[in-house]
Amino acid sequence: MTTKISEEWKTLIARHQEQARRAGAGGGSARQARQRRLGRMLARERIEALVDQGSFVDLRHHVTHQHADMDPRLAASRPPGDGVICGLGKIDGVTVGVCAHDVTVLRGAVGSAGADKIARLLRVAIDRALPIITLADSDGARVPEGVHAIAGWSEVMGLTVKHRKLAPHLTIATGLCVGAVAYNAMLADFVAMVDHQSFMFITGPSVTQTVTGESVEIDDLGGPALHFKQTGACHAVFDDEHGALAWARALLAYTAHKHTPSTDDPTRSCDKLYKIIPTAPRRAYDVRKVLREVFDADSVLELGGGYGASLLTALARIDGRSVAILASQPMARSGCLDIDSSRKGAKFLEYANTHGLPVITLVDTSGYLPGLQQEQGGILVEGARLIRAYAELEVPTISVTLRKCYGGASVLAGASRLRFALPTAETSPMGAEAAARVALGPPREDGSDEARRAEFIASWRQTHGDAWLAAERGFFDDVILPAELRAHLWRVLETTCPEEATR
Amino acid sequence: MTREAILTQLRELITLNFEIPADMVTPEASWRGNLGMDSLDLVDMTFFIKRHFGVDEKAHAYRGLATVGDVVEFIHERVQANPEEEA
Repeated sequence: MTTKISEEWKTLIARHQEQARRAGAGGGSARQARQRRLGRMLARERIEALVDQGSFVDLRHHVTHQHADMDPRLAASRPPGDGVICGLGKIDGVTVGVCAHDVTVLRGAVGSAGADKIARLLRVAIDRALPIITLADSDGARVPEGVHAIAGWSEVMGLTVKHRKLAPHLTIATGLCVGAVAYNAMLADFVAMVDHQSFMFITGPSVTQTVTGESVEIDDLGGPALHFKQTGACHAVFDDEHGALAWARALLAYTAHKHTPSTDDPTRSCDKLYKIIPTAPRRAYDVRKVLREVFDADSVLELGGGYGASLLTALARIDGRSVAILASQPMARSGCLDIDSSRKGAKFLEYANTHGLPVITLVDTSGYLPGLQQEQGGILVEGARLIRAYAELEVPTISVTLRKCYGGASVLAGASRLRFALPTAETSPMGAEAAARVALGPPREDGSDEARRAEFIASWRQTHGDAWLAAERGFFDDVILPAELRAHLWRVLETTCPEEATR
Repeated sequence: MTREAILTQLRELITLNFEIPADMVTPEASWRGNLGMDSLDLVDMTFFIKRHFGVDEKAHAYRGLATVGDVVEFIHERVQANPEEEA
């Protein structure tokens, strides 16, 4: 039996359908078609690909700007939604907030109505400690709205900072991110970009040329390579949007599901470490291989790998438990801490601390990188930031010195509450060769001091470089064989991390 | 493909994707000054050129190509060199 619908209801249903059509049309079919010809997704398609199917609920779906009198472009474009889609959805069953800019509406520029909408989403997320994912694709603040846009963005920035202390915030730069939108991306925890499609800067090439006279290309000013390798603003780069969206889902899982079932035996022997980690202190190796061997299969997610490469930062699991990892990378600058790696490490520790992830530090470093460039660039400032970040950790902290740990960089080993070492560990104010150089001067060209130097180095290693000696002196809690490292870390986490502390 | 054919097809691409009137798209027209395109438009333009003409060059390869005519010549050189890639 069909339900008879009155004429009044039919009128309302038709109106509803028309509003929904207008809201879905964004900046119009021509601009949507252009977006498709570029091989890019529409804002709502991005959301659908991000969240669990059928889970998204709009907030302020029909809001429009009220500033048609301020500019003819505003008068001509008043689509429902005002160029920003905000709402709640689920990712693997966990509720998240999503904000997606619609580049087809006034190039995604956000005015006061859009900013109010984002602020509303942030307030909901703050109240319920929900993660947020921003899909940024915008010219920034909507200039024709003048002070209205500025006021809206000021509120969004403030709320974004408050939110970050409660729940993760990821940004995927799906297109252009200028000014306020780029700054807001920097307030997020992690940022992904898409090659040949994403750009982030305060002002674009045209304004840069107008103001400074500099002629610059868009890639040099804010392309993915710049932000991944030089500024550290971007933590992952993908060939397409689907890769970036999958990354966001995977990344959120480490905090949303801190304990997941694992099929990888936590007591599995790590025999491959005997091949991976050289006993010779100056031979390089890729610490990523260590991570892959020690942590659950396919669980290691490196973040910010292009920047500050001497200190790797990653999320991973051990017996299904999420952990945050910092690891010296001997392949890059002998694992020396420098300005970039200190800055990267400090920010990553703040994230781990905020979201209750135990921190495991794998140490193999020749110290802090010396030199004029580092000193003039502010290594003291950034090095201190890393030390402070370690000191402020309230989550369980474990360090494992894999091989060497010299000088000021000993914060990596020393700042953790539980400290372990492999038998190869050398912990001292400086390496034996460097100490010989300080004590005996540079080696003679004729090699006549070779025996004396060898004697000094052997004596130094015996006094300072022996893992068991450092354990005797109380620096290490224990010395572990490489094969037993995974099982040991699992046991330590099981016994020292009460579940409620990391949930 | 002749330069004239390239210009005709490039004009169609520009008109369709950047809402610029066809009569403005002349060989002498500069991308920024006359057509009002900005840096991101030019990155998108390289994508459309790749798709349509099969010219697979990164955006930085287009540096210094100030006018529509410059880009016509740029495409012509590559299409002549790799005729099988022509779309």
